[in-house]
Amino acid sequence: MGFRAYASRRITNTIIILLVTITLQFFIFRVMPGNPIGHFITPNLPLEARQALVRMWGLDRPLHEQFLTYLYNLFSGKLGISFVSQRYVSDEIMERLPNTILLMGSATILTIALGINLGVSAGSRRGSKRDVASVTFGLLTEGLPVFFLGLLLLLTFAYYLPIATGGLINFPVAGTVSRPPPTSLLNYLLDVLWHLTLPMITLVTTGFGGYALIVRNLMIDVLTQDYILTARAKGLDSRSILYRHGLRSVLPPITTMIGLSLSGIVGGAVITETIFSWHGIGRYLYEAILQSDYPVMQGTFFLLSLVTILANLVVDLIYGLMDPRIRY
Amino acid sequence: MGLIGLAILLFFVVMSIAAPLLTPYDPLGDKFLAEGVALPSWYKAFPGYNDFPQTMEFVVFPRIGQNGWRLDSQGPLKLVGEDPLKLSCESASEKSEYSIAELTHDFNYQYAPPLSFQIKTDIRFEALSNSIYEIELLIVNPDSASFSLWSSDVSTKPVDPSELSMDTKGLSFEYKSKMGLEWYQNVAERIFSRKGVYTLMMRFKLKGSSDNPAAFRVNLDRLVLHIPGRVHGILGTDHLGSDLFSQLIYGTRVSLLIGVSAALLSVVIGLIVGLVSGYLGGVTDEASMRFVDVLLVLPGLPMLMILSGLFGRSIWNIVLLLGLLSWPGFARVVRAQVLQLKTATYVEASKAMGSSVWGIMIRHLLPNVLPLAYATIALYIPGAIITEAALSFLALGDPNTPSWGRIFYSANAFGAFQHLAWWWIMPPGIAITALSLSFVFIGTTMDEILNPKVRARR
Amino acid sequence: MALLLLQTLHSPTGHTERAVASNFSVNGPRLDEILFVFHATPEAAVAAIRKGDIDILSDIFRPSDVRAISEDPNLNITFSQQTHYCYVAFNTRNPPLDDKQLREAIAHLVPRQEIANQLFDGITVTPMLYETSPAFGKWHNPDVKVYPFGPSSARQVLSSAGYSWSQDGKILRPDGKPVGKITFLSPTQEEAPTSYEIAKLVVEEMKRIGFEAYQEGVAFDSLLTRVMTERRFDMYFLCVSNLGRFPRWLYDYYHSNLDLPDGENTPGVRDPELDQLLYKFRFESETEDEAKTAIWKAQEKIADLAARTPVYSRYEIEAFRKGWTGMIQHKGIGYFTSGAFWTYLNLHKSGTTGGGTVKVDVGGRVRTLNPLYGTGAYEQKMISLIYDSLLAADPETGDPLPYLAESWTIKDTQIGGSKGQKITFNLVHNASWQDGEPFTSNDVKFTIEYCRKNKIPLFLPILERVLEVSSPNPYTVEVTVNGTSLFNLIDIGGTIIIPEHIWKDVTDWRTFQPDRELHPTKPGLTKMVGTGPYILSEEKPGEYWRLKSNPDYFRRYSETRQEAERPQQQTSLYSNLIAVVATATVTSAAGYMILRRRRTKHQS
Repeated sequence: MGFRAYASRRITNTIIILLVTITLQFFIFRVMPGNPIGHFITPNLPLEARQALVRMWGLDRPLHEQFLTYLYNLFSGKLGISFVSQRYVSDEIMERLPNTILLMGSATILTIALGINLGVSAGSRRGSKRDVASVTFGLLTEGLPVFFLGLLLLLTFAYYLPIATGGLINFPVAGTVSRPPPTSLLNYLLDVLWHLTLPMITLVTTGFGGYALIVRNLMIDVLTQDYILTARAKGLDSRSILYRHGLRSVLPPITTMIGLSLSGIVGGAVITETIFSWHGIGRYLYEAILQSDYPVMQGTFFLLSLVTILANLVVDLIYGLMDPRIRY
Repeated sequence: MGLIGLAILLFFVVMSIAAPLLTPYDPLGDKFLAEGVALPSWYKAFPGYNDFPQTMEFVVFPRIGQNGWRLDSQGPLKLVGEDPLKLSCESASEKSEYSIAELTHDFNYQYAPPLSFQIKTDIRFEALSNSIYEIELLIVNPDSASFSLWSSDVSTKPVDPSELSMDTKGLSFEYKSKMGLEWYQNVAERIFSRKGVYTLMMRFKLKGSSDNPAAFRVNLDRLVLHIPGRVHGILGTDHLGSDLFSQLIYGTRVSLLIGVSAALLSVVIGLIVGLVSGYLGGVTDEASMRFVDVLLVLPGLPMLMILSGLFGRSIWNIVLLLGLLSWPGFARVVRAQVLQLKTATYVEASKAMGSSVWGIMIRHLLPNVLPLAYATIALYIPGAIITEAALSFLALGDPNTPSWGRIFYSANAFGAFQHLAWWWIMPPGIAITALSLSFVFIGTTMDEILNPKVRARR
Repeated sequence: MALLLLQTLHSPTGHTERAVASNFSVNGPRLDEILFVFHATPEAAVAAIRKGDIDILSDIFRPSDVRAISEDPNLNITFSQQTHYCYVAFNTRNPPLDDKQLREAIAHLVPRQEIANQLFDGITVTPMLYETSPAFGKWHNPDVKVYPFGPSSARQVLSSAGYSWSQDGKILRPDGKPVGKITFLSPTQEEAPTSYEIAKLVVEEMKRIGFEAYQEGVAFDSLLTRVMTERRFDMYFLCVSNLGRFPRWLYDYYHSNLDLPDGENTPGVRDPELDQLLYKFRFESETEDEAKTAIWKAQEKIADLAARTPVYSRYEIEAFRKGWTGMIQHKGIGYFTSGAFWTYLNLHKSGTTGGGTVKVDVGGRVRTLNPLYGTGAYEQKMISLIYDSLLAADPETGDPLPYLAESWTIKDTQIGGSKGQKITFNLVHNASWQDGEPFTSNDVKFTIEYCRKNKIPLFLPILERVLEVSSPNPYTVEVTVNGTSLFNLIDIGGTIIIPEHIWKDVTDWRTFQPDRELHPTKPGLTKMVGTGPYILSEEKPGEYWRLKSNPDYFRRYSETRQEAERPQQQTSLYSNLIAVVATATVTSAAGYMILRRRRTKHQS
């Protein structure tokens, strides 16, 4: 079928998925056990005040009314009002989004770049020392839990070494910038990069191994295909074989993987953000879950789902453009 | 490479099966085997740690003489029986001051100062006809400095058993400041500040009332001075004094179980869904992929957190959740492969020849997606283990199971990371890494053996 | 400098009231700036103070941290008793726990000292025998019945109440039947490991003496639902903190009016005499002595009833870097933590009269800086330094002290058929808002009426008794209140005052973020304007907050020192731009890396 038909089909699907997801999420949160008022129960807040809070949050309305409010919140652009802080969820997300994108974005790009590079070079030289070394190294680091590496890095470079070397080696212990940050633009930029270093190293180190392994295996598989054999027989050199034929076949699954990781860029990594006191969305969602802050959970999930869905749509459309065989 | 992987895996499997043989302790149930956060026993090899005490007890038997007490025979108390030790005082005359009797016991302490100690004994005394008594328990150090550990109130009432038990951790801040210590400092370290002969002393002060001579009876059972060790076992203890080595070993079972089950679950479901949907196309494909998309869109870790709150935190629920988490992603990857493969000439040919749908799937498509499956299993197993560790770390795991993640959780919660208690943190970290490595080696080797194309090329 | 005025007024009804005589007075601020910073974990916070990134850290609770800090030569460590309290509660509605003596016996089975030793290394908490802790000062009654740990005492109580033991050691009721299963609810091991352990230890002691006791660990939210809403429990363990300076929570915990779903009287205590005492304390005592008598007697009855038994109270452990002085210990609170207001007026570097910046760990998530909704402990640290209230509290006794009101009088009145009070506050003349507008009685009237009109939940209990407010002249406010309780004064006096000229235009008080909107007329300020000693000058959400000292503060320290500069609001807006630029840099670097490889491959 033509690209147009394919595209419109994809878009229709996307809308359906979005609606189903939204409805599903509403019910999941409501079914979850949890009492948002629980975190406000103190003797300082007597019964009448708590009941007033419940009314303010709309928790005493019938379920279908709450559902309609939920839909309205999502599409009004403000994504609702947090119980815990009484601020618009969209405002709180916007506060945190740049931090998360900065960290996760750069980490993901580096991870994928490193992973693909390593995977390709290992896959094309299968069995060689380089292959084995890369694979082993990638896997060693992949097997490290994120919190393990993160805490050790933080404590070594931001705590013990600074004290032991009297400040010679000194990485920051928390935050995206120094408190207070430098005023000149260049210094501010450097300051951010300095704060970014440890969390990024943590994420990249624990992440690239997975990509490397999958890419390597895909490469191996592809390189043993018949058409590669044909190309070799035709006399094409290995590099051009690798990139023109091999990589092309490997691209679809890799693109899928990249697409899936896009929501991670927005969703953040709660453990890394906690260890490095990074004001991001991962922790935001985690805290909301612990406190049963429904509007925040709903708003954030919606955002993450939207990003994922849109990313998938874009990836599908690109596929359709690239490879006519995929469309049907 | 695969052999190495297999060897490592075998090591862990043996460890998990042989767990009860390798360690006598219950990993979570046996607490206070030593001081909280005790060092491993082999730490004693390092300079400065040679004389660290392991858990020890000094027992004073309820008799006079060997392994028991020394009684001053001139004093008012007379021995009436042994086992339990029975003393009595029936002095005829009334006195206006206290007469004092002492039971003493010497013991030799040749270790570094402990962080705390506890004394327990069953003692029963009766002051007959309203005579007045006061009892004090002291310890005297080699320099003859004495420290009062416990004293009864001045009383005439009988005292019940089990009332004499003291713990240096419970000594009040006033007591500490009288000793010249700050509120956060350690009484036991001050008392046992050097090696030598220490004396435990139980001092009885007795006085008759104005119209009655002093009459008094003491029943004393075994007295135990318990010193929790500062070293313990192969890997030391956690904050509650449970053996870390046991936790590591029993944790192997849990990790293997979780990892393998969850990964298998994911891959199997993903394979089936991906194959069927990719090959059949049409409505089946549409429906499955929509379903997969909806599941994929839900962010993983948050969903896990919510669902684990919903379904409870037992191990099997976690396996189920981990398995269900990953299959959609794999299904999609499988489907992408299948879409490519099904347009290959040999598939078309097979279809033309009239092969059944299942036949094609199993004979032509499956072998080509299997390499991906192996790589994925090899990746998912450690992935599942690590996700379980992350869940435990976030306090969402199963609290009653000694998994490796739980070791990390208590390590973090009680400051092991902060104070670089590497013997606590490193073993589970190394274990997880080694296990992951082994699965990947195995997976890679399996891939080479089973993949027909690859085999042919060799 | 504000002076203390003593006024004696004889009212028509013969009631006399005096301002409290106290010698406590402190002026400030003596710092140039306070920088509050956020750390997400104790690791980061302890690392920060040891490295010198911060100067002050509160709420230290891990024994390993206490040791590390106490051994650090650059740090001082302090501890204070708090009004924090952890307890075991019994459901007195149903058998077997409806029998008071059974409850007493179980109270004797809580191994408080062992709990403190094993779980807290004996240093971060203190075992508690009193439900109203000594941290409440004169409101604490030390002569009430207590239940120290002792299985033999437990046995004695049970025997004298007619209980006996079966052949296999199980406890039997006086009628010979077994006592039955008792379930002890606690948080789960993962959510609150120490609470879980405590419940476990108590259950073990109960089993040892013959009870059929079981522990049930439930998720915290479910625990609250079962206990507060459904009342479906036998025993449970919980902790509360921030109880305030006065034991008013006893009313919520034990008055029969609160024995309904979501009410705090979870044990279900219904004692008419106790009700009377609690009501009197909370709503009717006119003088301190009356209140004290009532609450002391109430504490006696409460201890007798043994519907709850205390376990321990946590110490507030704080650390600060050497070189700072002037911190003030607030009884029941601490030196630096939320509520220790006076410290931040008086704090300064040793050997100087003032100046400099102090860096303080804010302690936890700052949810919102909206003063009408943000009553969490962490945001309060800042809100209480930006906004003032009419009265302040003496750090030692908790007694009301003049602040924005330099004196006050209380007259009894009759309202309809019931008694009430007319409280007249005489305001200071030299206070002003941080944007220069003068502080007048209109602001006080506005604040009270605004909160009542909008039914702001967190002010409901305070303001629902207010009947009328008037401002006859710019420096006098008259508030008419229902009831004659001495807490009327304390509650109204403790309410922060918001500026009328800013808040009158606010459409939705809930979502209004005064710290995020620029001041309409004064550059460099936000709408977060109070009369307080510090001005919010810069904020990076979730990371740090800069509070610069208010150079025109009405209680400013009179020693000559450098004029503090007017704070400049630095826009953190372009930090987002920086973030994007940094991402772009990294992206292009990575992309370049890939592309370059590819190109060289092709070329060779």
